[in-house]
Amino acid sequence: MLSGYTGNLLCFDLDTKTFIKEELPHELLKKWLGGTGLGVKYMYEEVPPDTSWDDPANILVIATGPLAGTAVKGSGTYSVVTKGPMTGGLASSQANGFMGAFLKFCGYQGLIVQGQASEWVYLYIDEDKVEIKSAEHLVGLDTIQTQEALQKEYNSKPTRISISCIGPAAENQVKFSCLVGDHGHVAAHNGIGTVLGSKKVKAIVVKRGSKGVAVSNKDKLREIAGKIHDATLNTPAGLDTSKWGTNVAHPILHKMGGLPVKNLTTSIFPDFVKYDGEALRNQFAYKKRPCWGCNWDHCGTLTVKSGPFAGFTTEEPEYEAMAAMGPLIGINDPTLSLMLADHIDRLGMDCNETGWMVAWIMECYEKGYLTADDLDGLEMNWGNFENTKKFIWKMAHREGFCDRLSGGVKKAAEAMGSPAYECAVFTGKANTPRSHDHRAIWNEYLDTCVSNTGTIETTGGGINVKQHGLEPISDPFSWEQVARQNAVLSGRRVMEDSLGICRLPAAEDIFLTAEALTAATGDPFTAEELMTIGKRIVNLMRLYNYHTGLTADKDKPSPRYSSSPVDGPAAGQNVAEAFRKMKDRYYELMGWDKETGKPLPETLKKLGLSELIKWAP
Amino acid sequence: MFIYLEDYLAAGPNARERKKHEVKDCSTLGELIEELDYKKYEHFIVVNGLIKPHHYQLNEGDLVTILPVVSGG
Repeated sequence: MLSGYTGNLLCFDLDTKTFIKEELPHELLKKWLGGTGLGVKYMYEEVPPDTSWDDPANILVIATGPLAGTAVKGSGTYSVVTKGPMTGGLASSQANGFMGAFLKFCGYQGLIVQGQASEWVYLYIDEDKVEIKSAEHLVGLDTIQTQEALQKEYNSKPTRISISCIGPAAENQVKFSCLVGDHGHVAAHNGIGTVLGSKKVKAIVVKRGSKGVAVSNKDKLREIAGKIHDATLNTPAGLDTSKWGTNVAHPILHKMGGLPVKNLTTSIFPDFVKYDGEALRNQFAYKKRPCWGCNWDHCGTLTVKSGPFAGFTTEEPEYEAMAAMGPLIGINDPTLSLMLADHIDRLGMDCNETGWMVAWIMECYEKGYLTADDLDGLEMNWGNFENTKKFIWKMAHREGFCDRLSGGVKKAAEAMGSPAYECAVFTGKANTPRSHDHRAIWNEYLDTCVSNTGTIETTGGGINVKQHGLEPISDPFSWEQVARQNAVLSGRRVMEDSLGICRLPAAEDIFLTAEALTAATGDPFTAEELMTIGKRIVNLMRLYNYHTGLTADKDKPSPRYSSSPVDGPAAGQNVAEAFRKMKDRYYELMGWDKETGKPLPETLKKLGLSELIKWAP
Repeated sequence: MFIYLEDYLAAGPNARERKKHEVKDCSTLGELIEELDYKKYEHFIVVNGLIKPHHYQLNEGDLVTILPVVSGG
């Protein structure tokens, strides 16, 4: 066993209500690291691509990585990989909090869930005490109520027990349901919660075990962890994010046309200043609640100080939830956005998909494509807080009109047809973008359209591109530059998601990441090797997804998503015209077939995936 | 010639003042980025409210905002 790892994977069989411990071989970990890499590898080996997401034979892998629970800051992270109901292909989403570290302290690198329970259960892990327990008493509770109930049941403080669970939306099989854990950390994308709901797993409880994480060179790792932390603060947005959280993105994105406003009908949101991270911390009372081993002021609770909602407390939403329940749907009061974000988290739905859905319905209502009669009596005009709250509740419970929306924006738009269809924002794979206006941010646009995971895969935050032999893009609307950068960086983020660390305080410098991994495991890793592993994961995902039906023609945006901004800093930029050229060039640079999008045999061979060549004729 | 540099948080409560900044005549945004040592990181540059490429030639009185790339995690 490599140092840094704990050796075992817990495999739950819900059909028989049993579990086994599976040992992870050294070579497997060297090749796939952990987290996302390990999950994708298991999906390929265990789940044929034609398996339906709700087939008991579909598995769900929760795995952490070699740096989780070590001296590296923000190392409580885990990844979830499964076959997701939104795209029908692979789902991969990571979340922070405590679970990644606590799993390792219990002696496990992760867990696999397969089969389908006959009644609601939750999984309980406390070192060698592993149980599949009845969750009938938790059914119907929202995600916060569920966590509080289990915390009380085990008489544990949040820092001694990690609880992740699904909410009513996943119980009702809304396809964009998520896994919510440790009070506000969400594995959100491609219906991970829905898969757990189909297996009748309400929650996963992991106690803070007493087993340490043995690393090869403890002193060296501690020294590098300090350097990593310093490097993350020494970036243009890193310091501000560490002080004020991700809501510092509101003014930045507004100034560059990247803030999504009223379903992309405009790029102007005059109240963006009120949503800035520092403004929120001034308006509300903030209490720090960091993830495992993190000293950033990024996560915490906000309490409303005055007005009709005074005393209301919730986990501070990340930028995306505030944008989804703010500018995207025409709400300009942060208190109301805060309350709606809390509502979505409690119900257990992906805030991005929910935001795009509500925004689309509002535009349809404003334009007369839908009336209050169609919407069960609800007037869904821009910014209508009360009705949005009711509407979201109905979405989670699949009531009335909202039952038609349970498959996400694309499916609902296709069912409704023109002219509503033309207003909807989605990709050909059936996921929506994150809550950004990517028509101004072409890297994210391309990434969202071609990614394998049901969300972005390559981009995310500001990477020091010079470490990858690139210069920063000199023209953000150059399809050639964007395609090249995404192709070179592809693999970096999935590699980081395989290590068990948070991208914010722990993943700025890839050379330091390689040094940390070397110190943790005792095996030498270089930055180049880490990128090869990342690209290996991306290419396996690509090939697997191809066989699920996610062919090249699905790598495309919806009509509204490919429209030109009518105003703001990116006004008139025509991403639709550039997209085909950008995608073709990206395929070429990735070593994928231009027509089918499949990895070419020589690409697979170069990445140590020769055994897959027969799968990619 | 003089231009104005605006910090990316200038509009927020953490407002930092616009700075008057001297550049050589016919300077481009690319040269400005080099001078300000911002070349290591991905960025967007907005001039007078519109995104511009590095080859944009600066004019007297231009208001320039250099924005770091932020995106989903």
